[in-house]
Amino acid sequence: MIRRLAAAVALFLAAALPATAETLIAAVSSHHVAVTSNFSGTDLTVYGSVERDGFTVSRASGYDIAVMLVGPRRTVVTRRKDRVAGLWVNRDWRTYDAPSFYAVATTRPIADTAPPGVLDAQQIGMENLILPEGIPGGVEILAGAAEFRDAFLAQQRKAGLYAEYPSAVKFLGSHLFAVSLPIPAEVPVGRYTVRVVLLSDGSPVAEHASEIEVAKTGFEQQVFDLATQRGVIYGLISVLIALTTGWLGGVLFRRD
Amino acid sequence: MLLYLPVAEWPVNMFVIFGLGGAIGFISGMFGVGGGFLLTPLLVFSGISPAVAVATVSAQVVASSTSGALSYWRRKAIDWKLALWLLSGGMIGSWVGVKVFAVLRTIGQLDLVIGLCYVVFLGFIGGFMVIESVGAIFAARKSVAAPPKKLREHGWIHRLPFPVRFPRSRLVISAIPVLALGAGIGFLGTLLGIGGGFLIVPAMIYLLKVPANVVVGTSLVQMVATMSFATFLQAAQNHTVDIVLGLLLMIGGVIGAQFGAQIGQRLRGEQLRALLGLLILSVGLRFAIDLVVTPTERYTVAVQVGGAP
Repeated sequence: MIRRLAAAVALFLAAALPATAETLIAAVSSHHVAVTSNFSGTDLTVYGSVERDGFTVSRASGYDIAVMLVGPRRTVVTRRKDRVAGLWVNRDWRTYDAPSFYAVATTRPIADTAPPGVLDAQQIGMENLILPEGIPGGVEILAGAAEFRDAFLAQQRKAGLYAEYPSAVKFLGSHLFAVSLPIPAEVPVGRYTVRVVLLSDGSPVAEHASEIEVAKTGFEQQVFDLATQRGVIYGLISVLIALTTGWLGGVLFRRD
Repeated sequence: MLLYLPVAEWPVNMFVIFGLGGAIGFISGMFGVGGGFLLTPLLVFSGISPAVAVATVSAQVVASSTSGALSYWRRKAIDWKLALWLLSGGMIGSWVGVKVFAVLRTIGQLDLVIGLCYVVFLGFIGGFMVIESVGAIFAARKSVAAPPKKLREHGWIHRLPFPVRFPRSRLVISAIPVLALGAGIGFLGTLLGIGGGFLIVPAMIYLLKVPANVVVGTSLVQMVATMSFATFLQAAQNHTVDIVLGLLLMIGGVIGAQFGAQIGQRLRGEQLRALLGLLILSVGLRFAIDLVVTPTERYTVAVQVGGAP
């Protein structure tokens, strides 16, 4: 009771006080990325505005924006080769519950925008990603062997699935900002989250989140659905296509 | 032109894949082999996962063997009874192969086993072919006829129980080696994404003593059937057949094979065997180097399939 009263008082005071936080408005250029047969990657533009009114506290150091595009999480295995009897063989491994795609763009180099604790809490930057490590028993631990984690991040970066674009978010004037995030052709399909965090003096003051869908369309989707959900029919069709192609080839180029 | 493969979930250059199919088709037409042993590694090299590459190449092998099998059929150079026995073994081998494939993929040792098998089989067969054909070339140079081989000489294989009569091949042989050979080829074919022509043809000639005029036709029929079965199982169980990729490879392969066959007809038998032997040997060597030399990247990342790795 007392606590509820205190909360109500606090709310009243907050509303009455002249200093309010900024409002962050953001939008994406497209909510649907279609992976078609000739898909060779695209760009996703995220833009927005930092809304202030007369009551908004004045900020001495200006604003920083971090824009993150995060793909659906999935379980990935990172394996390390070791020499066994002269041969290089996959031995040790770690599994991670990790985003299938992660791109972050900021107004300045990531480390300059906020202290490590904030970057960690806001999941800004590859180094700060929380990657729960899976153990066969079902237990998950947060801190894994740094070596495997670094290797995983390096591989994802090399594959174009994880990327950092420091200083890519541009302010157009004092309120408007925009950034264009490249989406590579190898992008995994699924529901993506677009998170925009407004930072000031190294602390988060506002946040905006929305979702976009990366999906195969038309023919690609149908083939994929058939292959994964109706394997038997897909298998029969595949064999039939192979036999027909071979037969056609034999008929067309008959030499005897 | 970039083309997105729906099952492999990977963009490829359409003309590169088409050309790859054509080049492999050329080689397969020239030497009379399926070319799967070259195609699977090349696909893996272009970024397609080994699982999808192996399964898709089995579909491609079906297409490339079908036209050959049909042409031998018209010439009546097929021992149907022998083919039937071989492929009953092949189906069993194929079925086991798909299971083993799934297990190896889950525990992350698929690449290692594929690599080792390539080294052992390609190295062995390639080495044998080179030695044999170089010997034949030198023998021809000296214009001394090689001592005629007694093809009909019956070894221990022919003394095994359960004899079966194969009238077309004028052969009476135990069912055990026939079924075992079929099963072995079916297993390796499914596991490695190869038709196994380069394994079954010498095995039929040297082990089963099948007459040369029906060997190729019969092995092609067994390959069509066994690899059809393998394609079906891979699609139904592992969902790894990419038919868009397969079709590109098939069309390229069928066209390339015609040109290859024309070149092949101009070369002498032992020259062809020496070239093919060198080719097989070098692919085996390539896999051996990959297994032994310190890799530039020790870590690999893969989306988990199945249960715990």
